[in-house]
Amino acid sequence: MDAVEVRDLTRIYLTGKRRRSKEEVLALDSVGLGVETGEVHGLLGPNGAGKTTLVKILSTALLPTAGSASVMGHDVVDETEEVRKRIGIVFGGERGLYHRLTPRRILRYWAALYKLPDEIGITRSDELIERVGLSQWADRRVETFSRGMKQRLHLARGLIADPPVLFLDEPTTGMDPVSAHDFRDLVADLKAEGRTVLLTTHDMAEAEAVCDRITLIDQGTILGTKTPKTVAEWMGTLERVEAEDVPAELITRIRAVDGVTHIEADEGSVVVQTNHPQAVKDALKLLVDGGVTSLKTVRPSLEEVYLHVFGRDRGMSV
Amino acid sequence: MVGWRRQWDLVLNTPGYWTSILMNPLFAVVFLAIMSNAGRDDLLAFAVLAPPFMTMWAMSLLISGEAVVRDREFGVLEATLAAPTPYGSVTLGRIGLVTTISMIGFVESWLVALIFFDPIPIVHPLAFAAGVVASAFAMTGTALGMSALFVRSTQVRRFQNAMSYPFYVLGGVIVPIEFLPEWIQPLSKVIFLSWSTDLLRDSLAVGPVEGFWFRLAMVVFLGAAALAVGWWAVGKMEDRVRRTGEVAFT
Repeated sequence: MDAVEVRDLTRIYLTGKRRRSKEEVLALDSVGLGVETGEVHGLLGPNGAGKTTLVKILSTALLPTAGSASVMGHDVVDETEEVRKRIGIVFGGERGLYHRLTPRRILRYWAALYKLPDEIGITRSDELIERVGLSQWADRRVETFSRGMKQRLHLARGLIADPPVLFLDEPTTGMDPVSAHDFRDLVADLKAEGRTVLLTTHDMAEAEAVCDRITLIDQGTILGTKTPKTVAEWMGTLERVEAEDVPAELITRIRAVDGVTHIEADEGSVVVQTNHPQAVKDALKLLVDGGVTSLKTVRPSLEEVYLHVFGRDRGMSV
Repeated sequence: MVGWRRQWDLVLNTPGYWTSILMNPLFAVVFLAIMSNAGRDDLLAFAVLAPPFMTMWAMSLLISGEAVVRDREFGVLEATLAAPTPYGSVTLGRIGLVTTISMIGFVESWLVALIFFDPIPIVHPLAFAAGVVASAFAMTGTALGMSALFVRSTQVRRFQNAMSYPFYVLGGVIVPIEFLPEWIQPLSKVIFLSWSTDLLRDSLAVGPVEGFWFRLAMVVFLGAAALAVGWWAVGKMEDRVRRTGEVAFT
């Protein structure tokens, strides 16, 4: 049995204030998904893809319009209490915390909401504060915290009931690189503890780094489930090289490299598009050998991957 | 009522909830001064009881609206709805705590009378205490019912303001119900405040408190009815936000 099972799940929102002029917005369209027990499963998609809607339905905060979903064998519509006992939710961003309270108070409050006995709630709050590295700030008001610190507190809150299943919705939003790296270690720890994690993100590198499998979603539709290796290949394949002060003769030589698909050149600045990791290496070698010192490689955006791999032009940045 | 101590943290750290407690002595001074200067010792019971009832009503209604609004503003509502504790229980705990705190208003009023005017004796202390406790219970139930209304409104504060003085008048908090037009008096009888204030005023008067048990039962009954409606309405609200996805709207 999968820890999370989603079958033909559809969610339609009605937008607009007047009842008669409401419009239907399809957020999820017959979505199917299985997350194995103990797996870290990524849900990768751009903003508006339907990731958060799916997490809300799985966490019982939202009802599906059609289809069904279950967590640890319990239906999210008919057995909400059983589902709620088994899940932890971490929403990304600044929201979701009482700003005037301290981490210690907030965690104890959530321990009470999860019906933990007082002593356990107190002990677990203290343990989690230490685990997410907030011991030093345990009694300071959250309103003084950076986004990264708030995000770590979100994580601690999600773990307060020691749930076997965790939903992490864009958990690294606003985190600095160091905190994001620590977060990846934390996800590895959660997996080692046997927890099932469903992680939504629009960051391919993050998904590739922490997930066992990655499901790609866009405009409410599942595009497929891939291995992190495949995603890493996409990132490598579509990587581009950007450089400054490149002589015209060198640009001509780079243009001739096998795998270079397109070069944009403007007064010495060049952007080299490729379709193969080897082409990136060859172009970099030529630039370095040619004495160019201002250069960098840029990983493709999710939008670019979706365009090249699935032929989906979303017409917006992600 | 789950997590009282945790709710206390929230209430303690939100200064706005305490405004009515701070204003209570001022109202007590004004009302007692008016009655004393007018030589209306027969209305001193109104003067001393009106401020704490106003405080109780204002604080309970404030928290009933603010609890949901603030949870929504802070983005906490979604996670709270997805927690094992029913949201009605969370709201009830918060309202119950604030209503309990609001009873400080009674002490303040009596202290004002004692310090600046003449002491007002409580002739029937047991009846008085029972009336206060029953009133707090009824207030909690009524406020829970209101919270379900507030959650659907984007104009909560206006709504709260509109729900204050009309109820003080209808509930006989400020003036005797007998002063109201006859056609409106039956409406007062379905507001627990009218039974509570009458009962407490009589507990200050010399002579037996007539129909004590029936009147106390009416306070508890009206409170319980409001509580049942409130519990049901909050459950409905929970269903509605899960159905419409309006959990996070502000």
